[in-house]
Amino acid sequence: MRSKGALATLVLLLVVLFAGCAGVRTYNRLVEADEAVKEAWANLQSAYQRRADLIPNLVETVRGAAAFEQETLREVIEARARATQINLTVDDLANPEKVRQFQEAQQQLSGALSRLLVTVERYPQLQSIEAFRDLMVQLEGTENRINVARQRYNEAVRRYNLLVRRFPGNIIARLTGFEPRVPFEAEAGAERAPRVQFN
Amino acid sequence: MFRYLLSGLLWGLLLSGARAQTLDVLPPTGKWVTDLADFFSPTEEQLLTRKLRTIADTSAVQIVVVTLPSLEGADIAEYAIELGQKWGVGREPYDSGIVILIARKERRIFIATGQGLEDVLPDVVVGRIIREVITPAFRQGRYYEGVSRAIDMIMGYVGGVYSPQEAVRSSPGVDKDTFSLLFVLGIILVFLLIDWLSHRRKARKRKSYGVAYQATGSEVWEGVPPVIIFGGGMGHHGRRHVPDDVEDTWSDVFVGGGGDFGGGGAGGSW
Repeated sequence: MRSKGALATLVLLLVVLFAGCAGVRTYNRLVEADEAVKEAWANLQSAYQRRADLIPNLVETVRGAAAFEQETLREVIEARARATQINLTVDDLANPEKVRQFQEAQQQLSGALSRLLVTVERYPQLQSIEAFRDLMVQLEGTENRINVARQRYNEAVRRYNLLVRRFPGNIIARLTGFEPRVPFEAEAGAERAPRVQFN
Repeated sequence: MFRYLLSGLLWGLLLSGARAQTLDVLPPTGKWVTDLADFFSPTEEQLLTRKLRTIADTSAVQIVVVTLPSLEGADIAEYAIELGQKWGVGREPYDSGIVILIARKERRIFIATGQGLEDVLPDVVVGRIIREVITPAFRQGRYYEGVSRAIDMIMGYVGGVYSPQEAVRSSPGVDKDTFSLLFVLGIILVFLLIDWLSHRRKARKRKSYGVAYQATGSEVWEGVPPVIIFGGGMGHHGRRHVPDDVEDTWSDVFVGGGGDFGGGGAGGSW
């Protein structure tokens, strides 16, 4: 009898030990995935910031070079102001409402920029200015970086969310307060800034 | 609060169903110049290959040239960046790759710069090279000349950044190979170290027993950790995966070094 009890205790102990080890391992994987999301988010944020930083320069160049439609320019300036106002922190990434707001603001800015670029095509004198061409290249570069950073962010979020929702991650995640994060939608094709053609 | 959590879960569900939608790009061809759209003559292709091979041999930079008949609706920038990432163009620790992608039907070119080159070769510079060198040459049908001169100009910016020594140290294939070798060596060393320590204890014992302890020829090594004995002779390991008899021609084959692309570069049309 006694040996049976000891055996049961031993088995129980082993199970607890095993579960504990598995729990710690899962927790560590969650932390890792979480860090990856944070890093990808930082990159995405700096890509958006890069675009925002470029706009005042662009606006100045366009304004100085052409008697330009003020309406289109104002739209860009306002969209930029709105987009930079919304500050999305890492903690907000689990909040679909806040992520949606942030994304909407950024998409509005993309839209305003692409309208500006379409209008700009009507001003050949503007396009012969070297500084303007450089600005266009930089603008395209920021859009490309945003796309890449967004893809990588979504991939990091996908991995993280899988861990958070799957067994046994879901138990550990609930116990330790990991919440699923919201991915970014890809921008619709029409929203992307068109590439300016120089001929 | 609960609503947020629930919708977050729904989001997660939605996303896990649809994998991140990435572009399907050409799989690695193992060539420095992949001329699918016939922009270059065989001789020109050879010359370009030699040029790119030399660059990879003497610097940490890897450049590949790919031409396509058509992009089939894909965005050329996205395609070039994705291709660079998939092929792993550029040495991994430096992310020093460059992809020159040319599409015949769309008459577009894009030069994607690896993440590590974005500072020395800013988009603006790439844009100027395309506008001032590539576009004029391409309009006259001088494709080889345009690409070749553009590569020269690019090397003017990035050539001195990473020295050849660094390039050799970071050759493709080093990481995993050397790592596993070091791991095995490490285990051996641990055993040797244990052995050495126990010997030393014995030696100390001998001393404490008052036995005269004289270092004879072979015993000199007893005082030296085995690391030093093992020190030399592994410098070259992991340089290439290629058997010795093809060593001269190995770099005609393009092997990606695992470089990352972050969206840098510029494009144009002709």
